[in-house]
Amino acid sequence: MFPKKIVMIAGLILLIVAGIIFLSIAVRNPSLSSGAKKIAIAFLGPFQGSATQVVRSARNVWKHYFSLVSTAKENDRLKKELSLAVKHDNLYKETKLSNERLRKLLNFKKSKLDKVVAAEVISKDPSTWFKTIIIDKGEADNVSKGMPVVVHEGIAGQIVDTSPFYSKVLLIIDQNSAVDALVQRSRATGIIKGRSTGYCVFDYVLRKHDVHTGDIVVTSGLDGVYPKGLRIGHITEIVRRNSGMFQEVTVEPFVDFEKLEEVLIVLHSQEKGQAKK
Amino acid sequence: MIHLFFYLCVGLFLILTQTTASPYLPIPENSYDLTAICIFYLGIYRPFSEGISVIMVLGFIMDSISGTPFGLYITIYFWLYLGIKWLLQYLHGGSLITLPLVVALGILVENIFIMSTSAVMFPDWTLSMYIVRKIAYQVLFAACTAPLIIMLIKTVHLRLAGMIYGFYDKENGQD
Repeated sequence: MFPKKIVMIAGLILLIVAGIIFLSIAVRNPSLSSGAKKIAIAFLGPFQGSATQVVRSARNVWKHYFSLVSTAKENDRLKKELSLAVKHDNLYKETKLSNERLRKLLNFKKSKLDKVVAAEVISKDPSTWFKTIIIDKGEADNVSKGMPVVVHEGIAGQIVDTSPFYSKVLLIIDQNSAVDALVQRSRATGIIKGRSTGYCVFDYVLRKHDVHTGDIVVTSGLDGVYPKGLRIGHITEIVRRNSGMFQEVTVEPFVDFEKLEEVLIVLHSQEKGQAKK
Repeated sequence: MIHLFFYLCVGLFLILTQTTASPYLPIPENSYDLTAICIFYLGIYRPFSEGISVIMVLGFIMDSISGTPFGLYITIYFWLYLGIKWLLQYLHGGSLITLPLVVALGILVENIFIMSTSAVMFPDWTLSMYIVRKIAYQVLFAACTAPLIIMLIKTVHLRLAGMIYGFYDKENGQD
C-alpha cells in the first residue's frame, strides 16, 4: 500500500519518539526501574565479587613477592610517619578529652556514627561519565536506600539501589549528587554538587560569605542524609564575577575515589528517618 | 543457541573487565566503553536477528549497574547496532582499514548520546574542554585497540564454532 521507503522512515521516527518517551519517563521516575535493577545487580554481583577477589589476590601476590625493594623504602618512610603520628595522637587525645568535657557541658547528644556496617567495593561504574560503585552489603545487612556511605577521609556517597546482598552507591562526584554543606571555618552554607571531572562545585555560596582556598567543607546535616560535621573536601578555586549573587567555588574531595576499596555504611540515618515518620 | 551463549559470555566478560578488573589493569582511567566492542562485533559480522536479543540484554545489565538513567544504554546499543548495519551497506566494515573508522564513529556516537542526555538532565551542564578532550581520547584509543579485540573475538568464535560443530558432526556420524 505504501512504498517501502516511507514505511521505513515512519518506523524510524516512531522508534526515535518511543526512545525519547522511554528515557523521559525513566529520568523522571527512577523508582519505576528499581525492580529491574535489583535483579541485574543480584545476578551480576556474585560474578563481580569473584572477579574482584581474583584480581586483588593476583595484585597481592605481586605486591608481596615482587615488590620487596619498594617495601623496604616504604618501611623507612612509614617509620618516620609513625613518629609524627604518635605526636599527633597525643594532641588528638588532649583535644578529645576537652571536647568531651565541652560536650557534657553543653549537653550535646553523642554522635551515633558507631552504628556502621563495613562493606567492600566490588565494582565501579561501567561509564566513565557517571560515578557509582557496587558494594557487597545489601538488604540482608539492614542496608537501605538513602543511607550515607563514608570512609575515614570523609563522605563517599549514598545508597541509591539495593538488592538482598549488594547495593549501588552514588558517589558525591556524580552529577546526580547534591550534599548540603558548610565551610568549617566561616560556617558559609551551600550545596556540594558532583562534576564528571572528579571535582565538586560548592553552589549557592553567597558573595558576602567569607570563603578562602584551602578552607575545609563539611556536611551541614540539613539534607537529612549525612550526619553533621563529616569532612567533604577543601576549596581549591573561587571565582567572584562582577555580577550575580553567588560565588563559583570548586571543591576537591578528600576521598580518592579511584582507590576506594572498603567503605562504611552509616545505619543510624534509617532510624532517624523512621523517627521523623 | 550456542552462538547466543557465546555472545553473552563475551559481553559479560567485557562488563566484568570494565567494572572490576580495569582499576588494576594497565587500562587508562578514561577508557572507552569496552562492552560496545561486543556490539561492534555483532553489528559487523553477524546477522541482524542473531545479535538484537544479546544487545538488549547487555544494555539492560549496563543500565542496571551504571548511574545512568535506566534505558540509556539499551537505547545507545540499539541505535549503534542499527547504525552499523546501515553503514555496512556502503562500507566493508570487516576490513582492517574501515574497522577502526566504524569503531571510532561508534564510540563518538555513544558519547554524543550520553552528553545529550546529560545536557537534558542537568540544566547547568556545559560542554567543557575537559569533556571534548576525554571524548577525543576515547575515540582515538578505541580506534587503535578495539579492532584488535574484535578480531580476537572473531577468531575465538570461529574456532569454538568449528570445534563444537565438528563434535556434533562426529556424534551424528557425518564426518
